[in-house]
Amino acid sequence: MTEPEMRPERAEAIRSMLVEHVRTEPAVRARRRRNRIIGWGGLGVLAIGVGATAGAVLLQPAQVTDDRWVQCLSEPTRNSDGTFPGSAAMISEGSGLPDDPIEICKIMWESGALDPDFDATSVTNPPGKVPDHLQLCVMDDGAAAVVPSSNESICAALGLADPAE
Amino acid sequence: MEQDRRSDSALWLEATSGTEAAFGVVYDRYRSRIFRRAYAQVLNTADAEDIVAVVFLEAWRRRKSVRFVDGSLLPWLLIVTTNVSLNTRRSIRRYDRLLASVPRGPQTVDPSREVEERIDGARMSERTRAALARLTAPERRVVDLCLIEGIPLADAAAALDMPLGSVKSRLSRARTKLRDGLGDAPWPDSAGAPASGDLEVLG
Repeated sequence: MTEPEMRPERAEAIRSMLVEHVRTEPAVRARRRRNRIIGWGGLGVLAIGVGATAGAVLLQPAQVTDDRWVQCLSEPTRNSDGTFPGSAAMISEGSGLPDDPIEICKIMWESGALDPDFDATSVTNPPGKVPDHLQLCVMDDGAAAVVPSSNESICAALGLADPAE
Repeated sequence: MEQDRRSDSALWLEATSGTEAAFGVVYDRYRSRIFRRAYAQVLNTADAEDIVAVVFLEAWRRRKSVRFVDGSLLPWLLIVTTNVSLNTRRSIRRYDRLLASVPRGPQTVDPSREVEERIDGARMSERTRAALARLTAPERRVVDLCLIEGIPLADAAAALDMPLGSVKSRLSRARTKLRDGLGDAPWPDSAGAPASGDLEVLG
């Protein structure tokens, strides 16, 4: 029985349009902008750093209150513009993904998405290696951040809160 | 082409964290299935292709609320396909600009129509179409998922975010309406056994 099929040239054109839309969609850019703002804000506070009050507020252990996003850092540093290197992973309801932010970022590492040579436009990226140590921190918007580091003070060093017990 | 073994939820995680290629893999995985479902409703290749595009654009727009069933996005995509197909014009209007970038191509004779008479399992007769048209949109979603696509009731309930009992009762009402509409001849009109085991649920 002959099944109707999409015309190959149109299927490909629609694919290109979708991928481009996902890459450039305003909400995604807004999210990236927001991350930059968060980053700059954090950098400013770090520059002030010695201010005891600001430091105390920043370093207070905090709960993860926004479980819709996990910031998976690819390095235990900030970018020169104050943003975090890596990817913000969005968690969809019922996705079957683990609840633990560290486990989610392990998936990201395994996919290779956090490797420096990863090509976001390619479907043939090699799998990545999960770092030996991943630490949970809390961003100032309540989202989890997972940092590849064995340093127990890494959250404070990045201007992030340690997770509350 | 080598089959990508990553789960839909893993691909979605990548896509929503800035890896647009992962979204392309999800599209490649389901576009044919979505197209056939859309084509069965609109019987026009270009329109069904538009619906495919809109379904994936909607999936991206509503990416925070997509629902996976056992890690699969397909049941949810099929629900969106039904919704878009039932209100094609309004659904497409939202994406006019984007669809304009993928021209519909020359209006040739649809080769699928030439074999229409030979395809009676996946295609619906006018009579069946009329019976389906009597269903409400919520009933239609359940019928599309459970009777046409053969999605298990529990999975349909998860995809629709409804209690299982509600899906069963909705399906029961839809069956009654379909039986009334189809009379003695079950699905499709032609005599003989149903083309798919899924259709036995109608009996």
